[in-house]
Amino acid sequence: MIEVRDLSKSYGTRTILNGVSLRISPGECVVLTGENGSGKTTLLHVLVGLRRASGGQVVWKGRTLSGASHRAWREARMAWGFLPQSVWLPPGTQVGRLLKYHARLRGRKLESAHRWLDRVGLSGTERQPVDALSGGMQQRLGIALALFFEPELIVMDEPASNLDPGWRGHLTEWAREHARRGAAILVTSQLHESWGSDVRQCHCAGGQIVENASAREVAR
Amino acid sequence: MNRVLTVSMWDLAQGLQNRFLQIFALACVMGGSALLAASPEQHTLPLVLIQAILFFGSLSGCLVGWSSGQQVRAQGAFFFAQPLGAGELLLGKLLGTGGWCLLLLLLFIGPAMLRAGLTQTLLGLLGLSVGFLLVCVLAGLLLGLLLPPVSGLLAVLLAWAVSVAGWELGLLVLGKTAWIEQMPALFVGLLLINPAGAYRVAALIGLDSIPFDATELETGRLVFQHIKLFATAIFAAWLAVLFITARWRLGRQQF
Repeated sequence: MIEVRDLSKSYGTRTILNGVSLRISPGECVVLTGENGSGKTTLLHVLVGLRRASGGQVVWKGRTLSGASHRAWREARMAWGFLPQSVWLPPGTQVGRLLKYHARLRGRKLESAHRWLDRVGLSGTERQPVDALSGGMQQRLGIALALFFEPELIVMDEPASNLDPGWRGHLTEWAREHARRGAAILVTSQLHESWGSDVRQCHCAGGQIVENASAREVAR
Repeated sequence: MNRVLTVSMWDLAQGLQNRFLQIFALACVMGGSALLAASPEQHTLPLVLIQAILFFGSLSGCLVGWSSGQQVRAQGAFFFAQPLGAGELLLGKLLGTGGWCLLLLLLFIGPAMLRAGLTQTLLGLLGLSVGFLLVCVLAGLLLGLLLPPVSGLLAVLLAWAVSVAGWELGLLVLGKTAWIEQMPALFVGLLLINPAGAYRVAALIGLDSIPFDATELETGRLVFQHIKLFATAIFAAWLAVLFITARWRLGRQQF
């Protein structure tokens, strides 16, 4: 479904990614783990086109996106739900208005956005300004905005941060649910048992992927 | 086109929470009320408008544009991962933020204009003012999108000061040199390439208050005969250059 081939990224003399190759097939859920500075976030950013790779390719459904036009990236992004490490939501904006804005940007009906607001436990907050929500609630709102349009691929960077254990369980469920329809790639520092055996774990270190195993294998 | 409208409508709505817009709106209401109370006549109102747009309007446009760009920049990765082209974002922002500036302009001059009566001169001047304000908004937007908050704000203030005062001061000094007298076309070109200069000259000539004797400038005569058209072309060129630069830079932006 999505593939990175021999990807490299450097800032001056500092190499962040060094020949990373990763293929995510339809129906697959991949969890990227690794220490701080191992290149996980950079890999995700290159994957979704927020950073330019120094070398290598990003291929989405057989189409090479590296060096492709704005239109090609925009079309791909229509099918991707992305949640960055820190979600900054415009302060003072009502939750409902933010939902409406994102629904319009994606050309989707507002009902699906409201359904997801309910799923993340935020129904009834539509008239509240986003800065009145707690950190965890803002994270859940970010998740709702990344998932409400049923993306084919979800890309999430530390989605469990600020979430309590109950919501982390839900997050796992949502990621798996989306992976069944398309694919999911998540960066997390905590790989807990609820991910199950069908989750593939990739470990980043020194700008390379050094492990490629299922969660159960890693647990063993 | 739908996404452009979505962004511009969002910007119009967000404007209500923009501190710069709130302050400028208040200043426009106060200034507009004072202007209405002074009951300016048809021939004095354009002069008030030119001064207000040249100094206050241009600064407002630059700062509101910068603030709008900063808001997008602050959302960073989350916003730029949305399926929104750089051109759509810029056009939507320009329409939304520019729409606010137009509202502020009408808030300031509208009541006095209605009392004094609309004239063709005033309408032409309003058209020029809108073009100039859009250039200011897009310049502010570009700097807001591409530079960090503090350096972006300093760059906006510097660009504004150079455009409304520094450039012409430099030209005054240049005008004292002997070699520029041999190249009056260059002098006229340098004067008009600056959007604030083009606005000032076009607006004053439009009022028949030419600041210098244009008849002595043979090379500039054609330009001054069609100064409004020329100023419009200058604004369009600036808008195109700023838009293309912003679109190109946004495409290369890394978050």
